Amino acid sequence: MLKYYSKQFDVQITEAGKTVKKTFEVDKSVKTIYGVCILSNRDDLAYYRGSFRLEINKDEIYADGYSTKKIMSSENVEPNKRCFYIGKIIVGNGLITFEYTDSEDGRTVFAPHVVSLSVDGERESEI
Amino acid sequence: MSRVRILVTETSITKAGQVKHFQIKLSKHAYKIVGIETDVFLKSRSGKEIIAPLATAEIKPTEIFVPTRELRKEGYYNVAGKLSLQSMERENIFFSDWVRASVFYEGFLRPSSFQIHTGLKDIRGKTAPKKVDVPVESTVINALYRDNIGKHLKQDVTYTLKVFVWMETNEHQNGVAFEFLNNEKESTEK
Repeated sequence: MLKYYSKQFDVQITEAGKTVKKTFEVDKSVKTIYGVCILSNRDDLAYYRGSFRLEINKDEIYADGYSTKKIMSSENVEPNKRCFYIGKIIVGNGLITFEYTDSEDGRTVFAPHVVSLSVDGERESEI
Repeated sequence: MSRVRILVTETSITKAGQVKHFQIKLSKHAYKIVGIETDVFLKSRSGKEIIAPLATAEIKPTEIFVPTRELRKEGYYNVAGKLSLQSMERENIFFSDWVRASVFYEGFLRPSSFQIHTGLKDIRGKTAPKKVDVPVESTVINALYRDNIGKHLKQDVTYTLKVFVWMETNEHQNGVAFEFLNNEKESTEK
């Protein structure tokens, strides 16, 4: 029986203008991923300065340089609509590669922050 | 088998009122462009703050006791410029739209501020790619961009313009079904 799955993967951004690449592994019971969104403890920094690349099961979903702001949402968006739906992607090897790039922006001053990739999907459950 | 891919093209704008021609190189597997999105990364401070234009509302007698709100001092001019795209296979341009530099109003940082004035109000709604349906045979499309924000502020504003081209490609992969491709309502809201 397939059940709802959601997990948040955090990336620490400690230096301005740098790219941070992290590979996460989802649980073996996870079969598909159908939604992604980006959160941060400094929304303004992630919104203005961030761009990213996302790969699931060695398949590039978002190309390098895609703006973070395009898949962020605020509290004014209904909670069940905050993810960006990408269709059902088979997780396969279970690896999610997230590459986040911070770049200088005229409106903000850098401070260390955390950027989180949240994924929604389906997992196999016997219950 | 077909799938959708995103292509990111960047170009730099440095002068006020600059007109820039550039080319967007597509993947050799691409056979159709299905969506266009744009974004702006500012590199320099705009230097000036522009007071948002206020509509002069007519005061009706019943509203006379309503306390007048303070004029907003914060806010930016958020149109960066205009982008036009032309495909080799089509006459005339197939895409022309204002490029908006998404902004948070200054009030965002103040917890007491009313959320409706922030750029984050409904990002998902605002940033759905603009749907187009352009078959491509060659691997290049021409782009023309005219700067507006520099002209408006009467100073050079340096920024990176990003163009995201969503295209369908012939590839032996399962691919991704992005929501905007199936959701007519959302794409027309833009």
